[in-house]
Amino acid sequence: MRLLLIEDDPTVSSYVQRAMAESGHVCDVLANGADGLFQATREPYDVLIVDRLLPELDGLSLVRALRAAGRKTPILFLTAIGGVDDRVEGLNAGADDYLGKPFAFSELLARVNALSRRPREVEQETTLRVHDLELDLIRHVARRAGQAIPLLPKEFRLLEVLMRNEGRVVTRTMLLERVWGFYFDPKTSVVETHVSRLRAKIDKPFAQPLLHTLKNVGYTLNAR
Amino acid sequence: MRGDRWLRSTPLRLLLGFSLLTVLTVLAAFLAAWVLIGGELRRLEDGRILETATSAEAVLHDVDLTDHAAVTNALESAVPDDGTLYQLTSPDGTTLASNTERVAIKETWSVLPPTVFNAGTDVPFRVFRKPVSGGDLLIARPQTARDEIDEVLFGAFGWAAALVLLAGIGEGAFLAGKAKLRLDAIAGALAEVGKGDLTVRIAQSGRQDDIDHLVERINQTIAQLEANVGTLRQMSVDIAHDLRTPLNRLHIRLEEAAQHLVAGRVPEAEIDDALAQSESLGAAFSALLRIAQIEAGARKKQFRSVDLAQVATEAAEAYDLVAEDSGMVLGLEAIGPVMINGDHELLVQAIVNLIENAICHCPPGTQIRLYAGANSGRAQISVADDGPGIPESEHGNVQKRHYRLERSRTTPGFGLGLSLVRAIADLHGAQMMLADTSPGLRVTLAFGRYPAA
Repeated sequence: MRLLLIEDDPTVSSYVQRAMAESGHVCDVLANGADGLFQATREPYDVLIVDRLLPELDGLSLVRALRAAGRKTPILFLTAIGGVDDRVEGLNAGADDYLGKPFAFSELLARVNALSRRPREVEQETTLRVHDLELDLIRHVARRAGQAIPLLPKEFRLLEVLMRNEGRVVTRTMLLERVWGFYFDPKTSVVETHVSRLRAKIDKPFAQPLLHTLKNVGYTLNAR
Repeated sequence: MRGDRWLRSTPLRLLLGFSLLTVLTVLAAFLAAWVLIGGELRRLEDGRILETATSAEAVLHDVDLTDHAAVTNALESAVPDDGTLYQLTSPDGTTLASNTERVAIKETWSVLPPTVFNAGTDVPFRVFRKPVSGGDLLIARPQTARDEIDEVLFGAFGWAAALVLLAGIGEGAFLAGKAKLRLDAIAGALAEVGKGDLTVRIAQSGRQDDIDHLVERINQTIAQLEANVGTLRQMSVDIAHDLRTPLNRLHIRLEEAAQHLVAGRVPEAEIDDALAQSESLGAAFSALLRIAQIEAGARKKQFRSVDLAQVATEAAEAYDLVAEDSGMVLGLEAIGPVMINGDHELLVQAIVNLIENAICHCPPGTQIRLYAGANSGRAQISVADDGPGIPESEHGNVQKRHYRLERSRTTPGFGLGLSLVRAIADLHGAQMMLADTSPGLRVTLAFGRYPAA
């Protein structure tokens, strides 16, 4: 994967660049907004990672300019401006995801992965399939090996998010945002509780486990 | 410079402006009086001229117009001896009798300057012409009364205007001086506040006037500022105190890790724990920032119509399984829709905080009841449990930032939960009420009148 990181803090950018390289990705770094915008329009990147406070051209204007120019490259804001209003503002400007500093690298990697393989134009799928697990989005029915599995509304939504990201890591924070709409860190184990309930329904009665836990990182759904 | 300052004094300027307006009003009144009195005087004067003309015509009736002496005699007897002038001319233009210069006019009524009559006065004359049998009769009277009235009226106006203006300036200077003293007191106090002394209060005059109201407001503002700065100061101390423990643990863990590395071992557990500590520090800072943001009130612009029943349902859906896993029961009673104006995301967070408080601080077997609906005419949402509760004497304290009950010192947390709920309630203009349900605790957020009037 080819990434462009536009970030003026050398500690952060060298750390991200090194860790991305270790994960097998190429990550270019630029330290100011104007250069970043120029480079982003010139080269075909898979994902852009943009800081909000940048010299010469701030991140918000950069993203607006890029979207106005018709570029659809997925963009993730990586920024210390992490208030709720700031997040809404960033997404409204045309970014696809928003991650506040301080961040864990595994969280950044999972989000970049989720963005890079997101279908460019959202296609309307009515049935999601992973191995022998099926999720009918129209009739709200889950089936595994032809056997109907009754799910609570949040379990259904949880499974949908995991299936849409088949084979990719989905972090706890991503699940909190996408399943429950929580943009804060709850004290109790909301995610863990629901994942374990879901696992009991979709995995336990079957030989092949599909839902895997990656310690300290998140969850992934695939038939390994 | 000093005069300049005085001119900029608000009371003085107000009074000057007011005096000028009064002068203009008085001028208008005088003008109206002048027009009315003038009209009335003219009617009176014209009446007398007509009277004179009528009696003159009557005496001329019995006189031979060719006898100049007789005509003059007759007219002298008919015309009053008060400066009234007369002139009788025959149709061919010869003067038959007159006590003035010869004047030829055609209009029935006219006003002529005194020079025309060569009279020893500077008052204009009112002239009446009347055709009589065998001639033209002219009666002219000086407009003395009118002239005197003009003099009196305009003189009076001049004096009145001068008095009003003088009084205005005098009173203005006096009042401005008094107001200046009070304004100087306010400016002085605010300067003290600017220098950092928040204990200053401005004395009120006790007259309950507008400046007193202003002073009251300023005093309230300074008091609020003093309270806020106090909270802030306390908060920094609390934060420093509360964050020192995890920072210390983090430091110890990293030291241990370094020692392990020196000894050639992989310090996996130490690094994991250090990461956990730094994450918990990050969470505490986020919570503080969030409270600060909410208290700043910026989110109000994102208020939308929100259904409290929906908020309760979402929170219950997220937490009924969590409660179940902790051996508790989470019950929901949502009688909706209960629409209020608010921030959906924050309201869910407030309820989630209350539910998590119950789950974290109550023993297994506890019943948690979530309620949303309209009660006693107000939109309400509440979380109740039948756990150990909080002593009534502590109800105020637990809403403070970083306050933790002695018995929860051992459970993780930074004591920010209820203060966040409180901040969210305040943002919504809602009242946060803690009630002892013996056994247990009920926290209610009561919003405005419902249905909204």
